[in-house]
Amino acid sequence: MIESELVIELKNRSQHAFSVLVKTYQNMVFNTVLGIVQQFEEAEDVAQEVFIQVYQSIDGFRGDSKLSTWIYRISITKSLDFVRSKKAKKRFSLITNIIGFGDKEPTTMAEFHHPGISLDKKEAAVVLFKAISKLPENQKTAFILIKTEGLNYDNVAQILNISVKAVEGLMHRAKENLRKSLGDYYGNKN
Amino acid sequence: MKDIKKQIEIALASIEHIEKINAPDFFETRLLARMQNELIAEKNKFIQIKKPVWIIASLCILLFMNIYLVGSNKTKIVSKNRHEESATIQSFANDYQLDENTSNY
Repeated sequence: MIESELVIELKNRSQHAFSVLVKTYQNMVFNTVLGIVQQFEEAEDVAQEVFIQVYQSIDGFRGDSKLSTWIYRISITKSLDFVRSKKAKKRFSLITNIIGFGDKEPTTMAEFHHPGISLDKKEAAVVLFKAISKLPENQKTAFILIKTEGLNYDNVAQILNISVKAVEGLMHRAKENLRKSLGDYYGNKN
Repeated sequence: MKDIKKQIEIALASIEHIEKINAPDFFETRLLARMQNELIAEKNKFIQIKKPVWIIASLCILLFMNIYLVGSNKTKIVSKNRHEESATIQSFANDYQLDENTSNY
């Protein structure tokens, strides 16, 4: 089924078309979400929300961009929303604990072991993913799309709706911030 | 210092050639089940509103609001009439120069 046919069928609420959509894009969505969310179970929940959103908003898809670009945008928005709400919850539980109303210990973020990284690089990757999670949202998104999704600067520019030069700038600043963050980590460790 | 720089480069390189992973098994099945559950929950929300208890309660609220509005309008009209009446008496008294002193005669 070609893309335009798939979109028409999706707009007609065809269950078969939705099944084709999920089978085609589930790995792409899951990988993107996992890179940003950095938790396996939560990533599955967010990926499901992405497909629900696609199903609900397909009538608004005008075909100005590729379907994959549009799905990437939804995946990024949903993932960043999740991270934001998680940070807010963490902050709230910290405050309630300080005041004395909280009954739970504030949860600390668990180490993220990406299943796609070879065993010899696992330890270094854990430190890197922790540093990635501290990056500003747009730098984090550009870095994840290029490094884990393997997209080129042109694709990322289309997804983020910015120029290629701007993507280059984001990547440069992301690498700089990562170097600084990793430097602090290894400096304190040694 | 040199050691730290080396560790940073190793960490940055650890993400190169990362393997893409597949979505968890039965992802689609779980997704469809969730969508079905959410759809049913949404339907039930509407059914709740259509229950006779809710309909009667909403009608009662409307009825009380009407009674209140009619009541408050009536009070306003009565007080307005009273005000107009006293103004007429006063103007009559002024026309015939009837004041407190006159009434003594």
